[in-house]
Amino acid sequence: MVRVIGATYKKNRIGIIRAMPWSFIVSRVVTGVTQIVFPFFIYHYFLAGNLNADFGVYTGGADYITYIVLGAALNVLAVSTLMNVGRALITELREGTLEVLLLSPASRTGYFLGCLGEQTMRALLEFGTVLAVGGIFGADLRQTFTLQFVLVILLAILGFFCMGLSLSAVMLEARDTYITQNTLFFLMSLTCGIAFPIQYLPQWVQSFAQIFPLTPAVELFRRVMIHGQGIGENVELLAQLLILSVIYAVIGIVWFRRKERILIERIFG
Amino acid sequence: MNEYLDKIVAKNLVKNYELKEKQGFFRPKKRRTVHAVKDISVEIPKGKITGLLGINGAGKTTTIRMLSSIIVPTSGTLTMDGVDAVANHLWVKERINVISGGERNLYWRLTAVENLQYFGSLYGVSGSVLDERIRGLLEIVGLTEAADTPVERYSKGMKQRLQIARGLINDPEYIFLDEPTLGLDIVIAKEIRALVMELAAKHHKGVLLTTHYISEAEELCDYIYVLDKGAMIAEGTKEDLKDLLGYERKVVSQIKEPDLEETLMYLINHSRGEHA
Repeated sequence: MVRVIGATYKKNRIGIIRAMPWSFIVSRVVTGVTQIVFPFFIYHYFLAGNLNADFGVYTGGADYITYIVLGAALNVLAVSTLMNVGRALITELREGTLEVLLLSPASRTGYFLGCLGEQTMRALLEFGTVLAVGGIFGADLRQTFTLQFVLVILLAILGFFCMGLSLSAVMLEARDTYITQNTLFFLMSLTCGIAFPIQYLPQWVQSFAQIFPLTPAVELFRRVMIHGQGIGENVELLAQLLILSVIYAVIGIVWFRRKERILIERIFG
Repeated sequence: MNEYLDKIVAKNLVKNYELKEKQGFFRPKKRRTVHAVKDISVEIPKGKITGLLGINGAGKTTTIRMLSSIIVPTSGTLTMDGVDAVANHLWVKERINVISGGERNLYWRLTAVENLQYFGSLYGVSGSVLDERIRGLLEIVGLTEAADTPVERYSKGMKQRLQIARGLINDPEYIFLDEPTLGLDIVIAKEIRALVMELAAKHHKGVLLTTHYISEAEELCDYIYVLDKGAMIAEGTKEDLKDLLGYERKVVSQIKEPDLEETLMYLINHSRGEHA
């Protein structure tokens, strides 16, 4: 499997460097920065720094800008990972290389891990850019580069990767990337607590939001970054993130392995 | 058991597809079954070139996809060297490869060497073995000088030659060639035909060849299966197939010996109940 991971990493890296898709990176960074800038202006110039008292209750007294910046940064990381891993197979289909990939006995998980490895550096670059811009706007990022920070990011990437495995099968089945990914990303940014606490949403929407790894990941991220808590103090969030990762990984890997040839029939049949 | 060794044996293969057709915005989709391949039996022995002939839509590509374990037959049995190829499809995939005509199945932004390194790694080939194999294959297909050029700058013929190198990167025991000379000029097509003959005769590989070019089948194939509308309508050596037509022609007149193209069209028309 290691060989497949390395080969896929190298193949994707060379392709990306030669294609120079800077527009992808810029687009996602701009989206993330926009998610900071708009709330910043509304907060300072429209609300004049006044927030509903519930906000303090829901967030444990977090300052709004830091809250927004952390949400936006993790959302960028989620979108980037989901998009790159989720689109992997359908990109192969569009480039006419899916059949030879599936003809080989190579580990499918190894292939996806190679895709993940290649894209993680770019995704972290985007994530870091949004955090840096957030720092300029006044976010308190003192907990950055602590061990807990690194662990949360790794856990979040795991969750996003596992969800990306399932998303990949869905995209291939639907033979669509645009509607699938944009619907998903819209739902996630609306319900996972990126720009506001999910407690403002109806109870059923809050329950629905729990199916996305981004929901526990962003909450855990904020607790570490804003309140200086350790991951061990948030076992329920850690458990939720890991359980979701396992569920999505099972759906993505086992289901795909069992259904691969049926899926291929639908594509090539 | 011995009758199954050193060959791929497909017996009574059937492939049906369930299609869902839209009826309108709010109406349920209509289901329709397409019988892509109907009860065919094929043998692909090592060291021989087996031809699969038929016009467009005959079921050739579906048959190749079943034989190469990309898709599962609806019914029938498929063995490779006596091993159940449907149940052990990953084992099969290590021992086969498919070379298709056209310009797909390659990464255009990568060079020939980078493509072959990637595909070799997918088959677990690495290090000096892979390097040596890549060097040898590029030499065979005549791409040594263009080894470090991105594929997007290749001509159609160069891409097709690289496809052949890719299909041989895992040193497969069986090779499925799906229209390998499609759209190539006569010089390159001739080179590729010579290579295919060498693979079977010299390297003892089992080769299944589908082609539109009858002359190609006539030149290369030791045994030919003729498919039409998913069904097997004839099989035999090219002499056997010619005899099918030749006998009837000779009854009418002694004009000339039929060629394989004429034979193929006769067989297809005959199976469809049309006059040749």
